Amino acid sequence: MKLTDENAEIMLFDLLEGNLTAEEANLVMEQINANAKWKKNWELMQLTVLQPDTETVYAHKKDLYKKERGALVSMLWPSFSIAASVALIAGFYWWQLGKDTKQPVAHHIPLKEEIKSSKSELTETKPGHTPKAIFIPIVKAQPYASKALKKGISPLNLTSKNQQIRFNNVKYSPVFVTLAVDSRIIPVANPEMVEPAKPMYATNSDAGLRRLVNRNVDKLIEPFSKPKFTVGKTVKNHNPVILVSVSTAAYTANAELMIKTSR
Amino acid sequence: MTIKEYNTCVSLYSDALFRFILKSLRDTMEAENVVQNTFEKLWVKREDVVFDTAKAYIFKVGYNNMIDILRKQKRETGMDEVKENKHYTNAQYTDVKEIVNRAVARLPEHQKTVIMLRDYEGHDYKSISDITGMTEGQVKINIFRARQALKSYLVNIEQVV
Repeated sequence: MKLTDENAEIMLFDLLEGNLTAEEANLVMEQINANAKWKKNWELMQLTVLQPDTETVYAHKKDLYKKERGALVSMLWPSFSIAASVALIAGFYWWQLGKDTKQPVAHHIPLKEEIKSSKSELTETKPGHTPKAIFIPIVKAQPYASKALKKGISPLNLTSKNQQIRFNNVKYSPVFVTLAVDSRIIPVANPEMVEPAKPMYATNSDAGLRRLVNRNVDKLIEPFSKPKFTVGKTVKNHNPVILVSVSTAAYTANAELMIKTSR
Repeated sequence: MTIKEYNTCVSLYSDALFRFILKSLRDTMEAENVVQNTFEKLWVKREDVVFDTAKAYIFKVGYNNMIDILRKQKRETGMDEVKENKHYTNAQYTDVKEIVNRAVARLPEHQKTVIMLRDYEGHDYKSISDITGMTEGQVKINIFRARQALKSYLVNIEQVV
């Protein structure tokens, strides 16, 4: 392994990168030390190794940490007791469409056309047939294109819980609109959406959360002072999908809720 | 990945990712957003990401996010300009590190990316290949060219001084 003008650059590079065996490295080093030109070249090559600036750190690291599940659940339950702090967007959507009619339950399902057209498994929608129960579990809540429009605040999350609520003999999966702030989950949406101007974030009994809310009051109240909810529907892969969007002056959050129909 | 493992990832990699992104974007706010979005995505995908591969995953997501931003910036400016920032001044060079920083800023984006991943974080060629989508051969060539360019810059500066 002889150093030449032709292979010197490659050899020095491989030496620096640790691509040579110990034996090869020793051989090359001996030749470098014996030649002033290559020695200079080697010194320059070593200067190309970048040194990280460890003084540069991510200033909001604490916002990234998450609480252990147990702590989160215990924190969430008080929130549930606060009236209307949980969003029932999907259920509400159907409920709103169906509540003014006197038709049988099966005819209240707004996704009927989509379900029919998609040849899904929902056979209960035959005319005159009223099912005892229809399960409409949301099998997947996929957030997409959600982002904070202002700096320094976490984006909204749209999530579904593995939980069902029965209404008019129909089971619905609630959709929780939550804001992740400082490792805490804060329900923000109004399930009935009758007072969209009212901020619906929860300040539960946790003192830390109260301090957090106070500290970020301008960030929290302003974004959710006028949340706008839109719920659309479509069919993907023969399955009905609900498109949920929550937008404020500071946030936009979107989610696809895939629904699987079955008896 | 457990919550504990996720939090460990935050401890281990958030600063490094921030430094890596900041070096390319040279915009603190944008770099912070990339870090935030990256860990948000890791949190959402935590069931699918194994802790052992989390570092590569984090840097891959961050890198892709960064590339999107750089492309958007290019579209908006309409040219491939070298963006100056407050971290890089035209003042007299005070030490080698500053000179090297200056030289790194002048590297093509793909060379800058691979050499930073290599030197800052000690990623091997395979890992850099996974993050950037380049082949391992391309990674090695780009690191080689980056070092050559840095070396040439140092030689030129030395001659001027």
